[in-house]
Amino acid sequence: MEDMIRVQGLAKRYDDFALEDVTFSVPAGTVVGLVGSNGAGKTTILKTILGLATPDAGSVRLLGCDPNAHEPGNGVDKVKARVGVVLDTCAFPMVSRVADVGTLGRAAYSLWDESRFEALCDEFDLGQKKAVKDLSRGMGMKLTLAFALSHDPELLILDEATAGLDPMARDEVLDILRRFMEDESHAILFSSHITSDLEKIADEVICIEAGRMIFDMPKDAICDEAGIAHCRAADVERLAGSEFADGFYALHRAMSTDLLVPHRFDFARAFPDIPVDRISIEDYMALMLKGEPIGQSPRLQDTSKGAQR
Amino acid sequence: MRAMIFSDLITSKNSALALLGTTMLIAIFIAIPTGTLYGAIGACAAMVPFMYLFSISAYDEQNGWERYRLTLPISRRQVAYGRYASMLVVCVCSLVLAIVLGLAIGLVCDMLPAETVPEGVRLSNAGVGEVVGTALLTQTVILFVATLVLPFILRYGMTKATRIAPMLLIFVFAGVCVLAGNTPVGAQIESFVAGLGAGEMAALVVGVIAVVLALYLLSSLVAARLYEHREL
Repeated sequence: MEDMIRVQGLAKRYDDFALEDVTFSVPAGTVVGLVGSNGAGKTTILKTILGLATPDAGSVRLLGCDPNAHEPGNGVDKVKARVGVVLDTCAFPMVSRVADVGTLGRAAYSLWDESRFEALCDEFDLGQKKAVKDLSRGMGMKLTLAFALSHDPELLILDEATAGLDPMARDEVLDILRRFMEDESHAILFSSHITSDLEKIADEVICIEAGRMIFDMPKDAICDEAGIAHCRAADVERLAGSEFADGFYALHRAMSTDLLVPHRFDFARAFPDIPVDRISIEDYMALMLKGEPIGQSPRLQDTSKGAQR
Repeated sequence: MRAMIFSDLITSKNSALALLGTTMLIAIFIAIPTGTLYGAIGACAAMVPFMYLFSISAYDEQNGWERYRLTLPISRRQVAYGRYASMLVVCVCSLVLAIVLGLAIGLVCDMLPAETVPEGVRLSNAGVGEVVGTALLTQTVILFVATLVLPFILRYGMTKATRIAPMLLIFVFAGVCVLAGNTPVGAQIESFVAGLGAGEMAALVVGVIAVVLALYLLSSLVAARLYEHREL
């Protein structure tokens, strides 16, 4: 499949923060989720992809084009016309009305579909005369999403697009994104704190922490294959001594220890006395970030594409 | 660039009506106490583009609009050139507004009985040519201010630019005062203009406008270069 976004060895330094050696791609037909704590570097990655910040090292290709090449005639404008973007706030000028946002879309995009915009606004209960300054955060995000979807984009770049939405509205948005992905030539790069949304829609999950990639894995390898084992202290000691423990991460709780296991079915067969459950992306992330590796060569096992830690 | 001009004009249209009303009131309240039409026309011609320049730049920084706008199919150069173009459109509109308003106030005052309004406010005393000239020259001064401050606004954003731009304007004014020597600048201009015939005066106005427009164009080229290197 063709890569719609390709990031290679990306580095970006600020006074108090550095993004180091980030490499990943977003192929057509996939939804890639970016997770990580506040200030981890997710927005910096999105900014470099969108040409809002220039990388210090590495390369970024957006639909085959360098988004940071500002020379006239480099084709970035045409590429941006194929991308829909939702940033973490409703960015339209406060004095504008919903109808003005539609007028702006008509002026900016050759493929702008006014009826689609109006239909989405109706679906989201956004009156055309409503001023942007009077919209709640959730309604503002819906307006931005309607704008991003109304010019027939091939790629969506979403930065916390479901933040501020109530659960019903989040489901509505996820349904819209699923419909968008029915066309296999489409792709989504979706940065979110709400990992349950990624569980519903993502194909790949990339975790960023303190400017570094922690893991880049298929979602199924986390949610379907990996697991969380609930161990007693004696179990941990027993596991730590075995070669089987490669890639295990332990997080000690008051009464027990949570253990990240890359293959929960294999684990359950090998240790039937230790309860092991399906793991959520949130728990997987927490164990990877806060847990300590046990076993002889702590690393992620075969499911990881480019894991680093 | 069309999208950028549209974006600026769409953003400012909602406050345009309020600005128009305020401008008309200010024009009337300046004309009557000062007893001259020229002050009112100058205020009209200056107020609209001046407020536009700073309010549209301030909207850029609200909610990350400037950042989001660059995700649309608009290049950085188009953003810079579009801003200069929209400013020029607003200047032309406010020039027309100032002239129409000046002529309207002058004409209405012409129809009022003697001693009800100051003589200088009547169009028959102020003169149509002078009304147009005042509006044109005021607009030229505003365009010159935009020439100086827009590159700073585009490079540093409105918040930082408001710290730099006034200082720059003070330096320019101080430089002019130094060059003028002991005689006040206003008096020098007055004595220079007094010696000019109507034709020379028209040529001077056209010349000044041409020079400022050339500088405005040059400023847009510099601003586009600066904006390309801005991190958002």
